[in-house]
Amino acid sequence: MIDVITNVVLEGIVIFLTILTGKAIFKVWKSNKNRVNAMMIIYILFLAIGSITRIQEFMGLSIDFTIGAGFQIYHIFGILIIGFQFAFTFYIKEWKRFYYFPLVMSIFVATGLIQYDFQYFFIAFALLSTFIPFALLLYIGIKNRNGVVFMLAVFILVNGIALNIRGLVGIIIRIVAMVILFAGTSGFVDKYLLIDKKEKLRLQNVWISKIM
Amino acid sequence: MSFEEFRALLGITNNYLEAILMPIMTILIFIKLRREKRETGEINYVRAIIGVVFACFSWMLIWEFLYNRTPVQMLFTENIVTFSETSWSFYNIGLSLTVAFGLVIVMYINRRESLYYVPLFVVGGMWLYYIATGYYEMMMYFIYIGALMAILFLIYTGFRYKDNGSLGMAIFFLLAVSVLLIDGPIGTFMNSSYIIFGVIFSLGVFKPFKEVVKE
Repeated sequence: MIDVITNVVLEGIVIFLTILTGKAIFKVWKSNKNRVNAMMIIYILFLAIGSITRIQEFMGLSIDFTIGAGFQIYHIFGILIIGFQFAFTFYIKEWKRFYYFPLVMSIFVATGLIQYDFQYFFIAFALLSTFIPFALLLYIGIKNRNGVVFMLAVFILVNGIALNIRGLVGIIIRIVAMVILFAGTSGFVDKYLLIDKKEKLRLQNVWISKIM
Repeated sequence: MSFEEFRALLGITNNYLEAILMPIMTILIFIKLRREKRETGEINYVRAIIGVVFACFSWMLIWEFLYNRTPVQMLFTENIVTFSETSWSFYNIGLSLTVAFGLVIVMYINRRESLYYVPLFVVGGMWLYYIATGYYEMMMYFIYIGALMAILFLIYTGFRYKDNGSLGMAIFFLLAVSVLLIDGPIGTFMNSSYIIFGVIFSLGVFKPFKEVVKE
């Protein structure tokens, strides 16, 4: 019983952090209407729904339905999360020719699960969507000194690892992952970690010239 | 000479002509591409894709020829080499890529940049799916539906942009696909017709639209 309560409380913290992160991104999206932010809001929504289904599972209220041979409810959210990770990586990189790659691959992964309960496609797709977006986003984040993209890369890696770990340790790592993402989206990283020295100097010069 | 004997002879001639002329046509297209690159300094991607389509087609025909006319049949079974509706073969690899690049050319001419590689992703996915699960029927749907779509869109694109390349590819595809669907004497004559058309097309003689309209 204590285990269940602990898990539910911790998963509740994950949802709380997800909402905070979503709120921060929504604020940015409202001001610039950027499509990447809109995609991130949907992505975060799927993460939150994933957490809710996990709470249901802990409480023994999980909806148990299977389409075909082995396409279950967590596969739906898994594929959507994986697909979105790829989608906004290609979108940020502006690789237009790869925009439909996640959609095509998701269809094959889902077909494999429906027809044969073939899990290896799902695992391979999940691994690819963890390491490729991580590497690409990390590079963009450091190159452009963009805190959101940098922390998103770290989040994808940490969250990808956490989803493969069952039990309390997995949930704690996911909380850490959500804290990382929140730190990125709330502007904390831009302000204190990835400081653009040239930009700072330019602002200082403007400020000094104004005083003069 | 009876009609059946004539048909058999035409079939054998077609086999030889396909295996010899198709690679020559492919080389001709790539020579033209290279010459154009040297003159203008830019790659003509439409011609390059047409070249790839012809290369895939040559691959198919060479395997078919090797199986029918050489001792290759002692090394491989028919299913591995020639056209098969139930399993993968060397022929089918070329066929699926031909259809995929046929669709790529449609996307390229219509400037749908986000869709350029989609047919290739689909074919790649199907290959992996077949290797993993052994399920093949999906590929046949792709080949037939994809070929039909490619033909229709190439005709549409050809008339819309008055593009000789698109229209030529559409006619070439139409004749080539009809060979797969039609058996008997008509199939044999269709086979000869697409070889003849392929020669006309690759030599650059097929120019129904004299003026190229640019949008």
